[in-house]
Amino acid sequence: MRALVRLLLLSGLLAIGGENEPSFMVNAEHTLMLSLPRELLDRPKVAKMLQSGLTTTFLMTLRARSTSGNYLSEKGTLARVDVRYEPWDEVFYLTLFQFNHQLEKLTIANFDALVDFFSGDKIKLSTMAGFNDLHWIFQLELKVLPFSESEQAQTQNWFADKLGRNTNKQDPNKVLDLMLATSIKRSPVTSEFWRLEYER
Amino acid sequence: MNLKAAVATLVLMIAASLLAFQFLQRPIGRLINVALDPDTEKILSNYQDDLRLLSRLDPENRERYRKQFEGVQERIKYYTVLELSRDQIRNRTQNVLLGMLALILVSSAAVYLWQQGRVRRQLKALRGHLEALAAGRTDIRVGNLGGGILGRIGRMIELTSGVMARQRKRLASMESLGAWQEAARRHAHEIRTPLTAARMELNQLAGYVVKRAPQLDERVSHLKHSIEEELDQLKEFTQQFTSFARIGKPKLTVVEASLMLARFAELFADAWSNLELAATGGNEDLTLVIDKDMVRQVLVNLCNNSSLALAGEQGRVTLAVLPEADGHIIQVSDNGPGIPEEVGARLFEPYTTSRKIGEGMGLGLAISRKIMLDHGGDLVLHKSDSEGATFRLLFPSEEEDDSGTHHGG
Repeated sequence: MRALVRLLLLSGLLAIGGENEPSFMVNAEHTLMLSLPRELLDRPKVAKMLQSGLTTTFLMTLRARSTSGNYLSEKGTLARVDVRYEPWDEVFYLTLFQFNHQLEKLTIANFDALVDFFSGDKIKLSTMAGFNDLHWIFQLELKVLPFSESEQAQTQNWFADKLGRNTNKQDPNKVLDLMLATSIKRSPVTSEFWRLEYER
Repeated sequence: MNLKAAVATLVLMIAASLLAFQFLQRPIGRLINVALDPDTEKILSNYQDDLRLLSRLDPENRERYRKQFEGVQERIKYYTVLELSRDQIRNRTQNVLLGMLALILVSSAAVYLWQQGRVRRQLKALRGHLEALAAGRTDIRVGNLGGGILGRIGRMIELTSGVMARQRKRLASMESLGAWQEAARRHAHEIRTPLTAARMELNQLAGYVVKRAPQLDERVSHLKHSIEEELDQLKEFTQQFTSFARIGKPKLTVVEASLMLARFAELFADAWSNLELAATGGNEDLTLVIDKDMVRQVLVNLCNNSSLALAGEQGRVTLAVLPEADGHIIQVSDNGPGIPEEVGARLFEPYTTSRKIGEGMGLGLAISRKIMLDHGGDLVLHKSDSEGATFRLLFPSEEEDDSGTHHGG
């Protein structure tokens, strides 16, 4: 298997990065930083969600293995960025959930600055301290979720309220309302999967 | 339920469930339509712009505008979530609909199979009853099979069984009475011939004795008169035999029952010195197809018996018409001492009487019953106790009458 990966890498069949692909960088603190392609945020459905006022979640899962067979983490590493546009103040509030369990909150003034943030090696994925391998294969999965779980629950309640039947506990239609209200579930507006070569 | 009816029922149930579902999800559809309408988004967005502008122009009320702005924003968020969940809601709606239809199909099939089983069991039971009917049983009780066609068939089997029982009883009675009539005819014939001869020879003998011994004339005349009285009584008995043996067939006419009873009570008011006759009001429109004179003879016989039973005491006979579902009834009640128990069982048999020998031959009730049987009906003792006796003249309904009762006339 390893031989096959090496062969594929050498033959250039695997993607090695480009304008429409994410890129990686290891900073001075040996932290693996991620940049998402600008094109991703410019996609109409992603851009619309980012400015909808709902909490858009960027959920990233990285599986990294060196060509010598070392893993950054056996289960993979997770990074999450919640973006919520505040239309009154016209600013973006970001909450970054990082690999080291640190929480970071940011305020970004406009959409262009937001795009710059995502494409500017600001997302911390993992530490690479202790790993001397030079060649890595990264498998990055990205999901963009359109709203948060709490917003989902609020909308389900509002929806049931608007149907005007959930106040009466004996109402047999409540079952139908609940069945329909609970069909409101967040699913990704976009999902991406990349396999990339990275060389330190 | 046949297949065509089952399919029609199923289609109706599915249509009803679709309508119900449409009705239930109408508010949902309306809400989603509003949420997805591009104009809604535009209007709300414009409203937000206006609020922001107002807050700039009127900074003192900025917080109020902001709250309104956030309220609108909340609504936009809900609509956006709905828009994003549109496919899921649609899929869930379709699944609910399919689930309802599946439930209807399964429950319809279950109901259909249950009904088929029930009908099979009922048909099996009916077949058993029909076999019993064909074998001549007259005590069939089908039980309740509902108001459907099987229920009607069951009731018809019971009705037929009842009619068969009555006809069998009538036939037996008529056969018995027929035998008695034949015996009475023969007795009358056998008695009448020697009676006539005896009367002639008595006259010859009296003439012969007086010619030979004129001094015995007075004594012979006295003896002759005594013998003639005995012969007259014998002749009267013979005439009663004859009248029993020669009961004619009824000559039917349509009679208004209440009117007939009222006239009877009026005409025979003085016929029995110890009886008061009363015809009670009844259904004025009720008509009977009867031989008026023969039925009147039945009434006379019953009143005669009541008068004799009262043994000189004053009494009352009440005549009434009672319409019944399966025929009509004329009821004759008296307030006498009732029928003696020892007579009750053989009441309608000829020569049955509670009176002393020589005071009657006991043919009145037998003749009366024969008349009623010839009408396709019957004469029954309905009630007898110390407060009186009640007889009922049963006349068949027109349907039963048409179905097989033979009438003469």
